[in-house]
Amino acid sequence: MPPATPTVTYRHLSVPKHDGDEAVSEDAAAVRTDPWPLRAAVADGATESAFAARWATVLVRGMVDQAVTPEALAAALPDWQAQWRDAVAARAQDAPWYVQAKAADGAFATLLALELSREGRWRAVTVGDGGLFQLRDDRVRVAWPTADPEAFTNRPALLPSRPSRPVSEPEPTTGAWRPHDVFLLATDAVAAWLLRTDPLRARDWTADTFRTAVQAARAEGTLRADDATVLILEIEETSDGEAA
Amino acid sequence: MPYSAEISREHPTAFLFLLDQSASMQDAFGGAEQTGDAAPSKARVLADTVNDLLQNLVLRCAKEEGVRDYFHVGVIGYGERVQRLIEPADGQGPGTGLVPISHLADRPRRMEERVQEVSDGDGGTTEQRVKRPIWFDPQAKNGTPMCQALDLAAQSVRRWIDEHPRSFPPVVVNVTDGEATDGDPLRYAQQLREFATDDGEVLLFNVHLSESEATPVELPSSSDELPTDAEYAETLFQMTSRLPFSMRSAAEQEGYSVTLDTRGFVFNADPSALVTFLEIGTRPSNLR
Repeated sequence: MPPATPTVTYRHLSVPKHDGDEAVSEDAAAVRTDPWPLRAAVADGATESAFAARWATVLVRGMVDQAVTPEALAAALPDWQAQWRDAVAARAQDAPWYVQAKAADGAFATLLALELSREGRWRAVTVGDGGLFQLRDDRVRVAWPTADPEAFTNRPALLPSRPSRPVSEPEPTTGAWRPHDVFLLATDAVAAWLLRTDPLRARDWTADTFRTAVQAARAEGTLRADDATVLILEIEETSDGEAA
Repeated sequence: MPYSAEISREHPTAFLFLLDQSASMQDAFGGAEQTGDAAPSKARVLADTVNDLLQNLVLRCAKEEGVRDYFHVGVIGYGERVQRLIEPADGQGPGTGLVPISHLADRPRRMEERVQEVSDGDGGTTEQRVKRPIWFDPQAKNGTPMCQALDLAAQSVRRWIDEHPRSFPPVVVNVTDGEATDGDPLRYAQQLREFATDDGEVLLFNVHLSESEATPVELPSSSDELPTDAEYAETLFQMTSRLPFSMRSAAEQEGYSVTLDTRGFVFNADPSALVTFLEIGTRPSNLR
């Protein structure tokens, strides 16, 4: 009997740092549900750099087309850097001196990616302080790479868009999944907030309830003023008729 | 807690630099490796350093869509005259002498191009042409009217605070190579430091540029650390504010050991001590 094919649904929830008319998030997320293996990625562009949202987008789009391993990430990085360089070159050319200087410095971003194999394994890779959670039944099975909400600093490891800048080493991990598991991929502010409160609460979030929760947590000071992004992946029962 | 206001476009902070332009600034730094005509004057090193600093402040606020006005900046020169060296944009009137940093970014006096060596990511280096904004040039003439400069600074920050009462308070950095020639600067310094926002009193830091080969005294906590043969070292120390929390952190990151009494003061600074201090003294609480 061929292996049953699970169905995965996902929600991409995001509230920018300045939640208003001029809101622009420098986080990015991407998911590839077809073909298997399924891949998902979130990236957080560093506020201090320019063209950081573009860099975060290049990273997540590139990562969901790569094997989720440190080696594949390192091998693809030069191509992603070239994509960013080409995208930015035209915009920087006639820009004021400070935009040119920021473009020359390059952008920086954290990156967290997850890959689910059809056979029930998963692997992940991260650079920086994004947070991966695996939820099963009513408990948190995995909180990675840290379960300590105080471990989040203002100086995470970063991927540079310029080849002249040093690259932080990607960290890998692996695990097993089964139907009804939920995975969360969160950028740093949300990851720290979930660890400080309860990661299980994310299972019920919709775009509206997430925004309301973010606004309340920012107001009471439990969520740092930063772009807030989470990808929620839910693995349903297998859709294969014969397996049922 | 004072000195913790979040800096945003709505609540910017201000940096005001007071630059000694007296005749003695024509001399080279004490202990300079090069001597004679080859050694750059203190005035030249100071102009280069402040142009670089203003460039870095702009870049800290720059995004692809433009420069965010987290900072307002002013420069007052004192020597032959006491004058504001950065003028507000046309039609804005004299105002406070502190201009939003986006105005500064868009109005350098000129752009210079220089060639910089950058890493090619492959173990080698490659040359890159970079444009460098210049806002002002070295000047060195006459005496050291520091009291008048402090008085003009007080007028600037007083008006600025009226417009920004909740902001992280203005940071005033005075760079000099000698004694005031127009009175007792301590009195003017105290007057300046009495102005305050809701977040704290105006901060006044002092950098004294070296004339001798003596080792710099950086960020002293007590006047005992100063040389005993220079009376104005004690005066400058007394004029200087203690470092607030965010700048103590910045100083620790630069390798200094600090206490609650650490003052934002450098005596006998060489060019590198000047650059390091300006980096520390322009690190207010986190940008929003």
